[in-house]
Amino acid sequence: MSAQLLSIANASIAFGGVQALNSVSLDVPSGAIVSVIGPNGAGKTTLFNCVTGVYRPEEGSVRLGENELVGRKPHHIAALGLARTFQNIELFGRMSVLDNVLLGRHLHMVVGPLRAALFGKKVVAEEVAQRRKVEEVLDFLDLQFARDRFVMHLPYGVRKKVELARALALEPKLLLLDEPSAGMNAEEKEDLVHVIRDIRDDMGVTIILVEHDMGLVMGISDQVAVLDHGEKIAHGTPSEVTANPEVIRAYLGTDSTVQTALGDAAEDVVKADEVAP
Amino acid sequence: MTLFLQNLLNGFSAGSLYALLAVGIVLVYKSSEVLNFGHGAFAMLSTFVAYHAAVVWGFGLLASFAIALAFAFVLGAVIYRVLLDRAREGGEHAVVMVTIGLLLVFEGTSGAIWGTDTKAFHHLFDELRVIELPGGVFLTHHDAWIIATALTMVVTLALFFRFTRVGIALRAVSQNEVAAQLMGVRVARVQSLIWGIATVLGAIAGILTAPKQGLEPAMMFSPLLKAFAAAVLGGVNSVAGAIIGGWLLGVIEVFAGAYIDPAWQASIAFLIIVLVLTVRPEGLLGKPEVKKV
Amino acid sequence: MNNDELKREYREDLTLFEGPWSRGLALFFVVALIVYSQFFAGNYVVFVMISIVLFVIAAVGLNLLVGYTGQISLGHAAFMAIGAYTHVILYSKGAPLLVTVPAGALMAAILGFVVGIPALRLKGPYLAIATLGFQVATDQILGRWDSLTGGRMGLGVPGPEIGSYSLAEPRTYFLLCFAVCLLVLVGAYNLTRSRIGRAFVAIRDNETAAEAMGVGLTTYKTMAFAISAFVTGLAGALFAHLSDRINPSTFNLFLSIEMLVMVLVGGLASILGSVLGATFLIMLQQGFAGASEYQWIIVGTILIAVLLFEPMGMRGRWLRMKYYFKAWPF
Repeated sequence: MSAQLLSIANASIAFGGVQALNSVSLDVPSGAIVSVIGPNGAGKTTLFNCVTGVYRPEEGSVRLGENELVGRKPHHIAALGLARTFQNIELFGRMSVLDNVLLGRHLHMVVGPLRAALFGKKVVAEEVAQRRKVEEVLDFLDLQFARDRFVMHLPYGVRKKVELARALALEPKLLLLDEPSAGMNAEEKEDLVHVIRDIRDDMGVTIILVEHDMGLVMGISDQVAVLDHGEKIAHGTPSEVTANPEVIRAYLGTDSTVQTALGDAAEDVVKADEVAP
Repeated sequence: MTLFLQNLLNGFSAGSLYALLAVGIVLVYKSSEVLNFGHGAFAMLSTFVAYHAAVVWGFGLLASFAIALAFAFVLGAVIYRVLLDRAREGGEHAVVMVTIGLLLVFEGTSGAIWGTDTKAFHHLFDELRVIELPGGVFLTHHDAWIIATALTMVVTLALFFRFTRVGIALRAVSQNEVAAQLMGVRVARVQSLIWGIATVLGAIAGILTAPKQGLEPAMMFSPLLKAFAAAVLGGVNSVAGAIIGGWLLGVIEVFAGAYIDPAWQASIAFLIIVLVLTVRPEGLLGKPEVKKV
Repeated sequence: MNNDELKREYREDLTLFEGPWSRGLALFFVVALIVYSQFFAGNYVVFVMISIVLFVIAAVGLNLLVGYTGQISLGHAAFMAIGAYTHVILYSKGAPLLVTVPAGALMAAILGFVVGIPALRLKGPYLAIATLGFQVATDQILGRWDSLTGGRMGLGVPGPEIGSYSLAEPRTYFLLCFAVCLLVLVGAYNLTRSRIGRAFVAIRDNETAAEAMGVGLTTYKTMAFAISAFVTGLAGALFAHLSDRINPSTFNLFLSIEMLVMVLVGGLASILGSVLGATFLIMLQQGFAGASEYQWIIVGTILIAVLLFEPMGMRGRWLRMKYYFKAWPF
């Protein structure tokens, strides 16, 4: 076990009679982009929630580097360097974009209530320093235009970006993206691919994403894990996974027309490999 | 033993009033997620209407009660349609505060119309006459009326919600308003109806409270707080819980007063609120509310 | 657009006042109020001014909790009571006023913290009932604990003095209250624009996301309750000197409701709103003194109307007017 940033071992959780996760294990090496795919209800978001402390797995362990995450509160886990986005955008609607992203810097600031109330030189200095960092993130994601707008008034695609900006502002070691391309058009998806790559390459952030767009998944991932009915049925490089008959049956059904779609996805992989240096 | 039974009966009687009020609170909460702080004021206003019909207009008692209950139904239904359906868009604080606003307006209004002094409103025949039950336990006419009315209402409601379409619609609405709407339930109409029914239950509680406490604008305020405690105890989203919570609270109050310290009788309800909400916020029979990420 | 509205440095976003105009206006108001209270106002007017100033403090405290953190409280009169009782009990024993007033606020803060703990698990309506329970429970404890609180009769309040300097004269006492009020206003405003204030608003808008971004709900919710109770308790301690006696019924549920009305009518999550709301409600009450039924009808109607038609309160109106005049004459 070398340089695994995140290792999930035999995580299980059930809701009522539904076994949402059944002994799922997943290792994510530092610096990788790993995708988790699977049909609706396969347990992908539940897996994220178990990692980020929203749910507590009934069995198994989740380790981030040296730290066991199971049993910790979400804000502790965030402090260990883990940030996420949500499937149904979870932003602070009545805060400006700037404040939303500034909140992502919360853990990098130290001022307590008493000093905040006095708002002395140190507080101003801290605010200015963090503001700089936030502007960098806004620059990176082309969000300058929306800086002072209220989040609730922004269109869907922009809100998704703001959520990503907020997560990046936390300067995480590990970033969890829950369906980052949902609701985006082809052009925006293409942008997203570059953004995700840049986050990994330039910022050194390890990324796990849950995603339904096969083209995107196959084009960007180092590894792909496939969940079905709460169980991990396959794990490997994109080309391994697309060739896995188990995956084809579970994920895409046995219908031959659907398998054509899978073939297209496999072609994307090849193209992506050609583009990559 | 006799004393024990006597206390039990007294508690049961007091609890019946709490239960009647608490059921109204829970029905409203289940149908529209509004915690109605004005529930007691609605009841008080309706009781004043009965008083006005009987004393000022000179109607017979039964006719006066009928007028008051009809008034209560319309009041509840209209208030929901006109104010609260709209207030819900402003979030849960807005809803709570609108019902508090109604409480202020109604208490002020009845004070302005009928004055703030306490009026006697004795409408039950010989309410202080005492019935002796087997086992040496005594029951006043008034308490007998309260218990009988509460039991009748409980059974009627149970039958109504189990066997009518409104009952099924209520269950649907309380689980998922949008889905209920899409399935053809006229949500706003069901909710107005429930508000009407709940206010009628409150009015009955008010009319039953008046002979003992006297009639004044703040008369239902303390009973309402007790009813909240009862609802919390049973579970704010469970009708059966509200009934059981009401009776339980009544009995606990009387027993605390009799066996621990009379001073406790008034405070125990708030102790229960704090305790239940700390330990088991969903109450005895309620279901916890969970947010999905 | 005016040229001077262009900002060149991040720290320009962090000044207390936007530009010289609003700073001048604020200074003018402060000086005018002091001059008016010292040289022109009669005792009754000064008394009303003190009430307004103290309820501005209390409303700001409540707004930190309700408006910024999104937690409702029907128990803030109880925090006022705790501030007042703690102050009066200690002050009667001879402790100096400049110690006992903060002590009252601190005691309220401790209880605020305690109330905040069960509040962690309670949402909206449940929290309303829980704080209501706290309100009534405080009332009954204060009414029963005869040896400490004097029961229903309450406690006599000695005249306010700092050292040997008497503040019994209303216009002198106003200066103390006004100074405290200004400190609270600046402090609360600073708090809301800091990291702490952002965490509060984040919790209000989205608890799940706030937690995922590293805002500990336990820490910040209890902190919001404690700070809010501290500020309101401070108002309570100073409020004690407005009459000769304090008793539990002064700080009843209706006072809690009145404070909520101030916050809502003024505008949620706005310090200026709380100033406007408290001023408005106290003036209204003075206008209807002696006809409390009509006062309730009007307050209730205004409350409902604001919630339905102007959820941002008086501050919302103010902002709209400001934008209108900024664009004027276009």
